[in-house]
Amino acid sequence: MSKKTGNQNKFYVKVGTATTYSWLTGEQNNNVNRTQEAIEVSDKSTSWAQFIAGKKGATLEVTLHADNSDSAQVELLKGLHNGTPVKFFVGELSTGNDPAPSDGEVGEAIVTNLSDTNDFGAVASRNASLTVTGELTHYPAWT
Amino acid sequence: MSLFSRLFARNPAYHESAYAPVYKAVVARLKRTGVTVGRTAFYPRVEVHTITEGERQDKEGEVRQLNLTVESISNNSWDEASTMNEGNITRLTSELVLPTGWRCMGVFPDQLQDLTESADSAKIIYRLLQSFTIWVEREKTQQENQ
Repeated sequence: MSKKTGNQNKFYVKVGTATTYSWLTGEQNNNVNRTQEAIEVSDKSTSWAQFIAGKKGATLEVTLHADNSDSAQVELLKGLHNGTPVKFFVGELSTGNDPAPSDGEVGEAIVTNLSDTNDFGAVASRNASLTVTGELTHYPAWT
Repeated sequence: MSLFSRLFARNPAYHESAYAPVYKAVVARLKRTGVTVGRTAFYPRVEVHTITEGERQDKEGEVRQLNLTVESISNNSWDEASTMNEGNITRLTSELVLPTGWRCMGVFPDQLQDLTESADSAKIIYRLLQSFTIWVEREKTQQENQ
């Protein structure tokens, strides 16, 4: 993989029991924030603070043009109303007849915020925040 | 294959400009009895010009924002130009049907500019320039949806 524009890393979700990912229609931009706690284990052996790695996690944000006729966006709404995790992929799918994650992050996430903005003279927009539950899997796999 | 060609190959919407469908629809919508649309020498007349198509608004390039200026020109009176301009606003904001493959999301009137040309020795030409913001969406073809 090489450098690329943000346009190519899109936000996809699996709709219902689908096995393939659907793009969130009208997506303008997204953020993937990976985190890891640092647990302090400093002692008197050194004057330098020492840490070991703690829990890992991730949060996601996506901004899009609101479209309630888009099944992928409805999946986000259902996720919030029903409290069910959403299966997502953020990145670039492979080309061909059977697109699969080729470069990006796969996981399941809880929808924590869905905020709609309806400004005069502008397209209705929607901002979604998600918190990843469980492991965040990176594609392509580490070698 | 370069990054750009990969991006564009997957997003057919990027190739298509919304300019032509919007221009055709606007001209068709503004035509009415007593009002000539286009670059003619007749008065009163309406001209559609300076259409600006902005950058693609989403990652598939489906949503576009365009700005256009519609000019109402009269050689009789400011009133005639103003009435034509109000008619233009009413027609464009009430309904704008785009050619197949495009859908109008909304038309919003913006600034109105009076560029009436007056001089002691010349006939006065009353010119009102009304700008609009138009949001359109490119509809995916059946082939793209598969």
